[in-house]
Amino acid sequence: MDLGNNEMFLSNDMLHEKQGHNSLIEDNIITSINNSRRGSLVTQDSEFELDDALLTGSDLDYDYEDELDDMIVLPITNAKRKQINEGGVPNLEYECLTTKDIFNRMLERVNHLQPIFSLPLEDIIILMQHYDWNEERLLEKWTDKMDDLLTEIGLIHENGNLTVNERGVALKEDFECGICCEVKSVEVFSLECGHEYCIECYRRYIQGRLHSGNIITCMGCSVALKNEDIDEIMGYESSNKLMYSSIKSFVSKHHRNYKWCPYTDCKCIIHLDDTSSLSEYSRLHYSPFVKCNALHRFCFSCGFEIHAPADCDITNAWIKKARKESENLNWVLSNTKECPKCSVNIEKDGGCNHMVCSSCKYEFCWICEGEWAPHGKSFYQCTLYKNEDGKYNKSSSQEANKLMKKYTFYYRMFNEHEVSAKLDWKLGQTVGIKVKSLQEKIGVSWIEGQFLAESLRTLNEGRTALKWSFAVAFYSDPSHNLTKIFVDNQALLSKAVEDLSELLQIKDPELIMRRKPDFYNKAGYVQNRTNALMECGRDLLCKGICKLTD
Amino acid sequence: MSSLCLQRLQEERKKWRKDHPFGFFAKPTKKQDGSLNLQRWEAGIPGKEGTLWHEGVYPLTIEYPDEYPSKPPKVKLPAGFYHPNVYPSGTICLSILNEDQDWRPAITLKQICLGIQDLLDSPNPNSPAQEPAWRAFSKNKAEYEKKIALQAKQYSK
Repeated sequence: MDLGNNEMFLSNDMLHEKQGHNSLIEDNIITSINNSRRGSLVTQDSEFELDDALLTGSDLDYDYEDELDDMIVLPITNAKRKQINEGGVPNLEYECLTTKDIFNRMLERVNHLQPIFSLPLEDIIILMQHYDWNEERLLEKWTDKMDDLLTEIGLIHENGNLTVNERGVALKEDFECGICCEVKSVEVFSLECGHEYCIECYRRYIQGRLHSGNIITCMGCSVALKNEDIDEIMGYESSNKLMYSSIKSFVSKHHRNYKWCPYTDCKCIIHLDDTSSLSEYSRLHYSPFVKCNALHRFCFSCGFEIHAPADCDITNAWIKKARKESENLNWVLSNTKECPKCSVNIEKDGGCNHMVCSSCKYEFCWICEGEWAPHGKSFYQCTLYKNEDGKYNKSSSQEANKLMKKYTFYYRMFNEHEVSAKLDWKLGQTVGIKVKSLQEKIGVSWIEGQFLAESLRTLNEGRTALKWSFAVAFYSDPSHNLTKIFVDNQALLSKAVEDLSELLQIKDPELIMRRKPDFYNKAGYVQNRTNALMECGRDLLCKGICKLTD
Repeated sequence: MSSLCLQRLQEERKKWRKDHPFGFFAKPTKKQDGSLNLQRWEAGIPGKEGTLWHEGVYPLTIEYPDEYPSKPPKVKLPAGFYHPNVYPSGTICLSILNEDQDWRPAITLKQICLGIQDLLDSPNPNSPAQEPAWRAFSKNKAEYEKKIALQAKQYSK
């Protein structure tokens, strides 16, 4: 939205003049969270930035993540460059990828590795897959114990004999398959190990494993099936499915640098190479919002939709609270624990406290939720047991009741805006039609009609900010003056959003064109109010007026 | 039940009746109407000669899921069975019975039974499944052996 229109609006709107105490906040527009403008901010002091990049290198990252830097070559030449914007936090340099992009990069790496290994590409893919696409770990092991590694992964048959039996499909008469136990004339598949099974059994077997992302082996032993074998059995390019599921598990294992776009059916993955500045964001109560190629904006830290003015902690607490109140999820809370690493809910269905997260493969102790490794040989010695029972019973029932009422009020507000946002979304579907009719009926160019889509985007952002502001309000000290200012700001944004929403209901194309300045004004106002509310909320967080209480 | 699962289980039964290791038994259970339930078996595993386990024959239940043989059967000893790799519920922790580890569709009932017989006398201290037996096994061998001998008597023929 063009900010140049603000002046025009300032003289028009009475409300703004009345609320003198907001004007300071209003001027302070948060550009840090507006990543869409990233490209337009030109670096001013390149020397300083270079130093900065050196100082805040990824020293804190784990080794495998350092490895990632090498593995995935960024196409953006200035990717390492950092900028300090007005908000005081470094701009995030990220890119939006799909599983296909990542897979192609993996293939590039495999091609690079080929001269080192002097193995067929197919074999290197298996090796990389086994090591979660981590080249460094693979090379380390490779120089150490090459033959053991090949046997372990199933590239060499245990007897060390590679060429006794031929790999592939053959037609056999009166063959008895050891899996389905049928005797028939059928195509039979076998690897070097010589275990022969009918192709139908192999198909069923592979079908069930393509989505696991793990290496698929012979049905009778540990010799690995290569992609070409899978394609031979399952049909052309079937192995891609396995590769993509392997990439998926790669993404969830490297969730510090890679995040799926949380929007339904969106296939985008955001890759943030250098995560060192994220702590700076949380320290200043900003949230690192990113935008995927489908224009969905979400928070890179918590993977949730854009939630300003609330920060990630407030958002998390709010969502958990909302869930806790829901009867359905009581069971989940009492019977599951979150994986300490990737936050997937895990139900314990066996006796052993050695848990392995099925999503990110993190190994941890059920009792203390700490890493498993130090527990190793001293099973059940975990002394870190924390009794959480009774934690929620501390407050008396009366107090709980009061709290419940307060929560219900804020939740209803939150929910109302969520519902409205959904309705706005539906409204958005008609905007496209409107733009089209503008073009057809009054000959407005496509670019000229874009103000409608922009207004809608602004409306959505305002709505979302408003929604999350109720989470902030819930955790804020109601007696503090700043909280009162915050509530005033909520009211102002609320009004602005409703006005803009009303404007967007207009259907007559000519009237829309005539009121184009109104669209600019109202949308500009919504944006200003949104920014003001966000900044005010951040102020509450920074000053500790809004904080989580146990 | 899928036809593949059923077909394979019938074959497993045929093979077992033709040839099975000495001292072992395995048979499908019966449904209420008296017909065979091929997805649920009962079996007995004798302890190996020359070990503390040899006196006993240890009862197993084997449950085959519909996805068998893509997925492994679930094999259980009686609840509370004393062994470092047996969960309190009786479920056995063995790599060939784990889909994500060493289960292969070609593994037969005979291999499973022999695998469990092996496990009895050579537990794997690195994947403990219950506390008492694991603790005794790694810290107090004398007590462990006493308990094993006692358990063998309890399950003797």
